[in-house]
Amino acid sequence: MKDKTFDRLLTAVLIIGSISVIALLVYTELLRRDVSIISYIANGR
Amino acid sequence: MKKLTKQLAVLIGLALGFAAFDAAVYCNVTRRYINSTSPEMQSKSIEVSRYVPFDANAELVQSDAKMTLTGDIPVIDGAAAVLPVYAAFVQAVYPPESVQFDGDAYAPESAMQYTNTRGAYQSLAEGKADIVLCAKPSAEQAAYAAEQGRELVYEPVAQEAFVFIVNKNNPVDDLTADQIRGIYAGEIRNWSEVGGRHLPIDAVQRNAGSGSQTTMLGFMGGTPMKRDPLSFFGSAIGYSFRYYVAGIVQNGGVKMLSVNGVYPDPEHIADGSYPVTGEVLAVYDKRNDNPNIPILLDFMRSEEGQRIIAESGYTPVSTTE
Repeated sequence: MKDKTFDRLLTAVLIIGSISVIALLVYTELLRRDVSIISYIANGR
Repeated sequence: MKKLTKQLAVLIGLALGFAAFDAAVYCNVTRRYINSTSPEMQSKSIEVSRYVPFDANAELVQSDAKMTLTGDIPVIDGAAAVLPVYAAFVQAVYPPESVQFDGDAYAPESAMQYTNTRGAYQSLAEGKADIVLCAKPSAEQAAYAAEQGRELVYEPVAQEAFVFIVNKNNPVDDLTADQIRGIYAGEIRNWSEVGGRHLPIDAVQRNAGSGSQTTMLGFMGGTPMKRDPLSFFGSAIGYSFRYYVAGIVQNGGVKMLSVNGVYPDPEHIADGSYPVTGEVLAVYDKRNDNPNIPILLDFMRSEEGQRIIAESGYTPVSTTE
């Protein structure tokens, strides 16, 4: 694989991976604001 | 070829690393916050549309009361945990035309309102509600009412158990009242100290001003409550009113604990053996001269009113006096 191609793929994986982490954290925070105490306990262990 | 293998290993490893991180966050954090209730219950603590007076599909106790209020109909409001009760009272003695529900919320001119405990006490203080059914107000709510010139009167109309809930898989079934106070004071931090697994205790609390939070503060008797942020990864304990847990939400993922060896069922609330009970109060302003307020209070405490309370799943005051 050419270095340029590798760099592009690496950049793409980093961007997509970072977006997935940020999206998951934002989604988690939105859920946290609204969760009921009963659901929170039921979802735990 | 060797270089290509290395490049692919880096790309695949990185992608798998992100996926593993996301999966770990989802399983350990995100999943804990997913509501298992409907969006309506999520936003309003209760599915209001199930308890609309005069609605043919309402899940309310029917009454054969022979009277209907006339004249100045009192605006009634209250807590989520007792909405089935006061909605049944409204259906029993209010004229149908006094209730206007648009499918999502009560119209501002409706004599039946639902704004939950914090909203109800605010409405009472600001003169928008004439009578509310709630647990005791917080110190701030009582002070706000006094600032607004209200002199609140509290009339007990039902008894309700204040219950402690844990995940259904938690092996602990019983705690003493002192152990619960110790947990919320931050003195008991691990379930193994009270006969459970070796897991931190996540002592969750409700929002300030909610009926259950005010009741819990009273139960603690002035001892400040603490929650260790790291206990998030442990197993949680929380609190609410019995009927809200067992009759309204009915989430099979939680169970109620016995306290001092007594389970919070209606029999043990009625005979006084369950040690943590609270009163459902009808609260109004002493200076409110609406003539229907005493009539409504008399009905709530009458044999028929107490039958509505019992059949709605609560404990009448008459059986505990």
